[in-house]
Amino acid sequence: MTAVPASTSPARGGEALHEFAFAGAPQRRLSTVFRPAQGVPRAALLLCPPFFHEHFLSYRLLSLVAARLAERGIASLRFDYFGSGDSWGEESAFTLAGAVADAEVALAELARRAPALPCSVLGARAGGWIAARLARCHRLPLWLWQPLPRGQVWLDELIAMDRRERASRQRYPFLGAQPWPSDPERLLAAYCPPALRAELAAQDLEALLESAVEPVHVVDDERAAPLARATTWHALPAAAAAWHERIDLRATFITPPVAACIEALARLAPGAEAA
Amino acid sequence: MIEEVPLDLGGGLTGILTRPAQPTTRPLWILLNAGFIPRSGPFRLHVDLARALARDGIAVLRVDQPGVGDAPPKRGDDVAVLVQGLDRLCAISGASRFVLGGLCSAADQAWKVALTDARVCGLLLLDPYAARGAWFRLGQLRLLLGRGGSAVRTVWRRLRRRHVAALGDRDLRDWPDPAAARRQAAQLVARGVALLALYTGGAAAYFTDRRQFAATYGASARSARVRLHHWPDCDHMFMRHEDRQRLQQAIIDWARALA
Repeated sequence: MTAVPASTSPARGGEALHEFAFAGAPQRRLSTVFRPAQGVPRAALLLCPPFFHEHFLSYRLLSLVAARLAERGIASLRFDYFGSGDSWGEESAFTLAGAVADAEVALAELARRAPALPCSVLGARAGGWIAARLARCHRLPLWLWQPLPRGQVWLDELIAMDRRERASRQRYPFLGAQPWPSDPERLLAAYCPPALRAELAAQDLEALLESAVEPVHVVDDERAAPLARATTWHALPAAAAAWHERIDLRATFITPPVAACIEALARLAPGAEAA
Repeated sequence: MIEEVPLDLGGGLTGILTRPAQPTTRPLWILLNAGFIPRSGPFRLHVDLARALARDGIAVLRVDQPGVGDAPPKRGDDVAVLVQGLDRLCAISGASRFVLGGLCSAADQAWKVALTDARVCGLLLLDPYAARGAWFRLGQLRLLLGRGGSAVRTVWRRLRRRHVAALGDRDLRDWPDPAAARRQAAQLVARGVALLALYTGGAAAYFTDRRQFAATYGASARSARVRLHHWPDCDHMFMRHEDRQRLQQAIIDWARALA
């Protein structure tokens, strides 16, 4: 499907503090949400979102993270990979290489919207693999939110969750004696063919971080083992970190421990001393 | 080529409008948030549906309501915010009639807006309200028996235990009382509002038999303006790709019938 570029500034009728726009080449339009810093801007942050169902489950949380950072002088840009979220493209168009290229486009868009500000990049869950590549390539400070150290471990979790969901009488009360059959092309509703699964399985975050990305600030589940390359590590209580473990119509919000992690990250951003 | 435009409708209501390639006089559709899922919908349901409808000549707005997705926190009355949003949409798009709806809480809110705003001419209701009753109990029994003896024993054990009330749909959803629902349905149908009601197996806590629909909404349920589906094999979020495709087709068929 082909998109026609829309106006970069939305029709404004109210007090929304963010700006939607589509960015990138006409055949690869990406949905972006820019949130300018309030007051004197001191830094800019690109947020790389999680993949698959974790994208919509984390959406409100990352929107609120961006809002909190804006109050502390940090502008941010969030975006959806091609074939995901509000971006153009069928979901079958999603690839890891494509996601990295999309992040490059988003970074350029952030630099255009927040020129001359020192930039950092944040990756949430699988978005950490994308953010780490960008940080390495552009020598940017890296923030990781509940990162996934090993792709194979995450893939195994998704496969197990997919099996549970297909057999769940809570999800499918009228299910007969047999679970729904698995689909080799899909995992938990997302298009994830064998080639993409192999790519996911090969992801190794520690290896990505080896080539001198620093600093690396990590917010993670208190139950997780800290990353060896983490410069700082901020613990989320299990209750605040478990949002990705259940697929329903809920969202996760900013609780005091989450707010403390955001505050800690904001203090680590460039220009904090002056703010 | 279809076009997408970000909109800020005020009152914390934001979203993306998908426009068809050619100007249209057909009603503009608005997909409301399913619970706390952002405007793209569960598993991108709203994105795919908006683009499919736009290819069929219908403009669709997928919104973030206050407190959801990218919208500011909720501060006031959701229905008032949506009605103001319709005013602004009229001014921006030239649309004068709207089809509202979505899944779960979206269906509940669309129903309330339709009752207060005559510009709403269609309702897309995915797992909307239904009253329990005899048909529900019969459906429950059928469901239980279909699961075999172990399920019956489990239920019997639960019944023998002291009853502890758990939160149910009635506690979490914004539903009218049964008499009001019947009266309101009659009012909407009399006004010419078209309804597509679809119940999934995920609503089995309150809907297990399609005859419940007529028992809930009375004579209005039999109106030619009302279309009902019951898909017991489908979950509340349309997780299976086949279910999302089937849903999209059912909605497009209904939209074509409306035209």
